[in-house]
Amino acid sequence: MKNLFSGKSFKVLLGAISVLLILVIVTAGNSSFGTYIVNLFTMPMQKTAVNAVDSAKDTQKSAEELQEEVNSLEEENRKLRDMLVDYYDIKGQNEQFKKYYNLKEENPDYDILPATVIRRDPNENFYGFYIDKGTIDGVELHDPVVTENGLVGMVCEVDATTCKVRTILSPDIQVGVLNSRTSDSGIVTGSSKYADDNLSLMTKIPAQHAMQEGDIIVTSGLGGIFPEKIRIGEIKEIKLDEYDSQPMAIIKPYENIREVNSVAVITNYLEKGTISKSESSKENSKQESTASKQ
Amino acid sequence: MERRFRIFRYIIYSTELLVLFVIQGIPNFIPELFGGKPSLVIPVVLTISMFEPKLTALWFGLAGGLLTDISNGGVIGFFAIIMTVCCYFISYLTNELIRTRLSVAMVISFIVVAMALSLHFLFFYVMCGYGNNGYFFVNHYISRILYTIALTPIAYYVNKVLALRVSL
Repeated sequence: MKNLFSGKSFKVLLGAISVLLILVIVTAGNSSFGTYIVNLFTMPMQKTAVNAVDSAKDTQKSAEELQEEVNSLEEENRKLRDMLVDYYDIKGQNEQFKKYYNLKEENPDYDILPATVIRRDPNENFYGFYIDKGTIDGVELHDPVVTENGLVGMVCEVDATTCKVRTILSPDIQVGVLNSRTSDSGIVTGSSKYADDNLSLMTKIPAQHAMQEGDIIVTSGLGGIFPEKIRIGEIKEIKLDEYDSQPMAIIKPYENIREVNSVAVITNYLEKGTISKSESSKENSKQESTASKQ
Repeated sequence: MERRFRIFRYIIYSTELLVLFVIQGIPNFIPELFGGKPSLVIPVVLTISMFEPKLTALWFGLAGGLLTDISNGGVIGFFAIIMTVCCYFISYLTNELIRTRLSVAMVISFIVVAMALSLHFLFFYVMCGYGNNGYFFVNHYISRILYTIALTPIAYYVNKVLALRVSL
């Protein structure tokens, strides 16, 4: 036992613990440096491994399926050639760009950056993941992350070459939303109870709402983080909160967030970072009322 | 000569760690069992420390812990501290007090993995106030703990072969 607490190795242990404690304290607020160092070395391996797994999955398809896929791709190719005069200029670009064509067409002010999911950690509780784009590609903290089906989440950590995405299944995220039919507003957030079933919650709904099951929920654009009118999902169920009896809705996102493999980051849009007029006027009137009381 | 073998063995261990770190992060590659996915790095560093001296065990524990922290995002050093200390004491136990066998490896792995993931649950779930603590622990952490422990025999035999064969 004396041997255990003496000698060079025990001193090294104490030294390592001291350094790690400092690291814990330093990275409690921001961990991008350590993540950057490791990601720098492991990302090429991670990307190669993901590609290898994807190509292995492709080879499992039967000849008929592959032929069918080739036929449909040829048809799609022909249509695109007719539609786009400059098709050959973008031929070399990634297949992912096609997915976000409609989104870009509807919102010309969006700068859309397609990305691939490179890592999902087993200890991540709410299905967050890492993608292969970072600050070098123009990604910033809190940039919205979408797929062709709708909102997935937002960037919560970013380094030079990768970033981590917090999904709308996480209770740590809050997205201002609207019911596209009734314009009832609310907040979409995750819940530990529903995340496993790929469901989110809509809270802060007005007591006198007119929402129904099946209504489509879109982002409101208030707050300046998420652009407005990005689809999130549809209402699966409306019920009362078991604690405060406020109405809440269970939202089924259009995207299967637990298994999504390719996404896009909206790196810029027209009203990014600006709080909408209605919200800022509310804020102003609040401040004004506080000031007048004082 | 002995030194060359040792360095070669450490290179193989390091490669093993890196490869498993990459594999455990590949999206939709390792199948989920009852809502949990295993941590491949933890059983490997635990079994390495059973066959190596204290100082080596400490460094590999540190490396494995840091890799686990980094793949997690957030606070760096949480798993690193736990794994560094545990690997140091495991090396001492198995080199000087008890004989290394699979049953011993399983018991040690169970204690360390259960402790590390329970502390992770406490600090990064309960203290964050997400709610539904019991449900989440049963549906995510227990399966994660058991899945990780179930991989210990593979890691034990691979590292035992490495420790015995790649040496003089």
